[in-house]
Amino acid sequence: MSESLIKLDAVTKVFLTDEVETHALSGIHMEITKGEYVSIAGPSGCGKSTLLSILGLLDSPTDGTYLLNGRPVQHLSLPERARIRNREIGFIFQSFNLIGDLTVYENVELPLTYRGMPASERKAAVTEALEKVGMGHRAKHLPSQLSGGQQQRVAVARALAGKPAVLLADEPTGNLDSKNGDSVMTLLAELHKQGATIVMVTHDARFARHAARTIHIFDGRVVQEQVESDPTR
Amino acid sequence: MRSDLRFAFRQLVKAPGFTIIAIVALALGIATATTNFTFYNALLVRPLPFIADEDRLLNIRTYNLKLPKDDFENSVPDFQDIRRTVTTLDNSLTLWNRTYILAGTERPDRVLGCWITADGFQTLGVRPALGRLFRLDESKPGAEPVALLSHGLWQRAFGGNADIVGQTVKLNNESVTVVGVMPAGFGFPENSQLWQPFPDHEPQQKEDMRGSHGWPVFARMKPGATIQQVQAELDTLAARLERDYPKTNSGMRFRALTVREQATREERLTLQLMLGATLAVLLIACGNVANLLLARAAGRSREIAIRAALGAGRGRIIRQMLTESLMLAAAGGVCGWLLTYWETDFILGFIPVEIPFWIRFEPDWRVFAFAAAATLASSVLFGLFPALQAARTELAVELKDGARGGTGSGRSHRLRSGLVVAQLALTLVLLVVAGLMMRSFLHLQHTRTGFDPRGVFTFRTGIPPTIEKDEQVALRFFETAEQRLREIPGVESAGFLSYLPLSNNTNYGSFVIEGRPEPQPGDRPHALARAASPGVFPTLRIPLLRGRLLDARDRVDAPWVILISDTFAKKIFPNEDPLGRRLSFDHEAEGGKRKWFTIVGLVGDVTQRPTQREREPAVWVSSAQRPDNFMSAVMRVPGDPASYQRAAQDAVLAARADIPIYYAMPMTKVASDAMWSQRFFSGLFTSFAGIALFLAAIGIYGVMACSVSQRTQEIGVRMALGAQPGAVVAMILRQGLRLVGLGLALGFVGAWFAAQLLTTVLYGISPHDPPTFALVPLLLALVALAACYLPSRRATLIDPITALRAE
Repeated sequence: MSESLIKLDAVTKVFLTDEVETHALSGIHMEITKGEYVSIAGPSGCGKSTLLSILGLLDSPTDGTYLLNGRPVQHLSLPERARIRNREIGFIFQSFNLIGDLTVYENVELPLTYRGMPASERKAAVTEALEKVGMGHRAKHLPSQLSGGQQQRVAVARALAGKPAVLLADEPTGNLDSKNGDSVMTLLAELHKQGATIVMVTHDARFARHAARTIHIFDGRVVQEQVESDPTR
Repeated sequence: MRSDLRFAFRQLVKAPGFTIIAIVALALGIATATTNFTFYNALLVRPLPFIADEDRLLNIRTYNLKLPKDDFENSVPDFQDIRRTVTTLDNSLTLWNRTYILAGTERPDRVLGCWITADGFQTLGVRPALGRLFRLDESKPGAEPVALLSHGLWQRAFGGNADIVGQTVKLNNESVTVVGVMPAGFGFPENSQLWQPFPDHEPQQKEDMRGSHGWPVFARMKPGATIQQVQAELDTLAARLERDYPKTNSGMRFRALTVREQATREERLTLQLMLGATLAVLLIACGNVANLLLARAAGRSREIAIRAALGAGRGRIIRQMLTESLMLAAAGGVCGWLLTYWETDFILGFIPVEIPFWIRFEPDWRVFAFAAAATLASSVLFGLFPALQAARTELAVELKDGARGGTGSGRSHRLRSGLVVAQLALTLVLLVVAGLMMRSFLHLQHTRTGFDPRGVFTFRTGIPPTIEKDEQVALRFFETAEQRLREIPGVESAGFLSYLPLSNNTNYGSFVIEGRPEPQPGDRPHALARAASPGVFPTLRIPLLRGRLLDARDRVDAPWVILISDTFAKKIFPNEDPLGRRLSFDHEAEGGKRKWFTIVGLVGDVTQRPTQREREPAVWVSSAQRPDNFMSAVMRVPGDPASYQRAAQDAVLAARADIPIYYAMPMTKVASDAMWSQRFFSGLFTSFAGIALFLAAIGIYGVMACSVSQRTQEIGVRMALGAQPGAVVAMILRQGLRLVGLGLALGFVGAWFAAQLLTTVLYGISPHDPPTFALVPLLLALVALAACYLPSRRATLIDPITALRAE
């Protein structure tokens, strides 16, 4: 049996705005094992991004339990959450979220800097990550000098550089044309083959099928789990 | 840290407008605070140069129990008693400022020097640069006359001759041996250029001079003694002297303060207020930069969120933001430090008087440390709130695709508004303080001085008693010189008087009135006493109210006469006719008879000290009947008075070739210089308030412009729905005016309390002067309104279609 990496038990998330309660997530149960490639699908507003924020410790659940690598993380302090994000989670965002004033190299280096990694190790890790996504030759460029597909590759490199336990991708192809989208999905598939655990949010069924398992969310609940027979298709 | 610095540098370079405004604001704030600390340091902190262990050096003054605030110098017999009996004192000195005439130069040179107790320099703890100090036997009768030169006089008059020690120079017609040269910059007590030992046989040392005050006393406490112990001994001594010498010492007490406390007691409050005002300017500048940083942090919320998502903890983000603040502050600090040098020189240029030797304005390590501390504190002050605010980013919201970023949270907006309110409040306090100081100065300037300084040239001259012991010779010199002055083409009138009006020099005499009961010792009334020749009254246009003026009849062998001032008449003879009454300044009848002066005229009041809160009773005696060795000349001339300097000098030299003139200037300058400190401080406060007003205007403009930018879409919707431009302007102005109103209300309360601190430095106006408290808030409101109006005008130019697309 594969080792559990992420385990959610009865996780709920309620937003309170102007005395109006919005139930974004209602009793989510989910388990993701190490090395798994899971996609989370559902229509706009169903709660999939909220779920990803909780998985990435960007937000905390209102109720329920979240075990990451067997450790409950739902009530951690802010510095502890930041530490776990830095060491165990790699983010890939729809809008890339690169820092415009930093070069490609510096963007990839940033999480390693926060980790306090020595400069020589950082250099090796950044170079390796950029080579892995085919962006080594663009290390000194600024994000604004790259295409959307290239920027997303850099974002993937940044997520990879620290060798996190899981990559969380939020609509990674949402801002890309189909050609660049396909290219990024191929890259994720390769990373998965190399052993990476990937959790990807998408509303595009075509891309969801790249994952071995798709969890369908509707109105903040898991309504269906679907295992792909041939995820490489 | 290096990456933080690199990124911070890039961020600042990327936004040059923001960076320049922030650096200018900080440089202004830091320079203003540091410049003022330079003054504060020079007067209140920096150790006195040349004086060893200054906390043990005391200045002792005398006061009357009936007027405890008005203290004055001591008499020589009292000094001798202090020196002899106060056991907690190691040593003490007294001195007497004297005018010397140095012969042997191209023209006779007037030198300010003093007699000082022979071992006085040992009391101070200062050593000569060349030669030796005085020996005790050099103050004994028959000793060879000796002198110590200042470094400046040695350089100026003797070309820095290394062999000067042992040489004789001609001082006041006397051959004096130079025994040493004091260190460069030393000028005790203020700006003395030479010193001689105070002769033991000088008449002032005699017992009958116990009522003659005017001798400063400095004393060094024994190690381990406290000022309270010294004061207790002085109190005991004063009580004994009161018993032993009731006529002169009744009600008299001594007061001991450290030399610094004594020298700065009038300026201390003003300096403290000034430092407070400049720190307020620095706070306002910090508020401005904090506001700019908050606006920028709002625009950088996504970048902050990305950093946080990648694992940067709150502390790490705060560190990143504070690095930027520190870099800004460092740039502002360096510019401010450079500006401090220029500003200090610029301000010193407005001080028309010679600065005492012990005040050093050159910035030292304390000023540097202050500037560094101000810079560091500023970076924390203006950087911390924006950094904390930035570190509070809602990650999940900011990282969403389509998150707007740059709008700033409500909390951020409230914080920025709060800063503007605080800036406005502080600015109002500063403006009110400046307004009160300026009004006080204007009041002084327009206070009736009782004479007309326009078209009058003045100088001082005289024959030192060591040159001419006979007062009649001095009198003849002044009469000849006055005649020569009148003969200068164009001169309408001329005269000599003991002290110029508004010169702050004073000479008070206590008197008895014939026919009234003899007052108890210490209860005799006092009046300001001036000696004048008849030409003074038409020259200064001092009005005669009754009787007659002094004239040529009032010679030494004629009956002694006196003029009294209007205030004298009202205070001393409230319901009597003063003309014909007689008064005497003698303490006791000599051989059973007093010298009586008959009042022959009543003249208008003439202000002697511009900051005197009440008019003082004054008398005028004929200079022919009470000759002085030194007097001031006044000449009424057509055209520019300054152009008569050469002619005046020649006229005096024609009267006597060995006598120079000095303090030569138009009388209007005397009047102007008399109020220099009020003009100076009110000008400084006004400039601080001006800077604060400028910064506050930028602050409120920034907040309103940012608010308009954030509300672009809302304004677009309103305009799409048909809102008129006027309605949009009114909406934005209402928002701004709420801040202005709150700031003014808080500032008004603050100013009300701050003004109470000014009570002792204001003249002729109440600390809660209604015009100031009415007009200053109005001025600030108008400026703030203008700062709000500009962004509101820009709001009306928003294109609804573009604005709606901003969504």
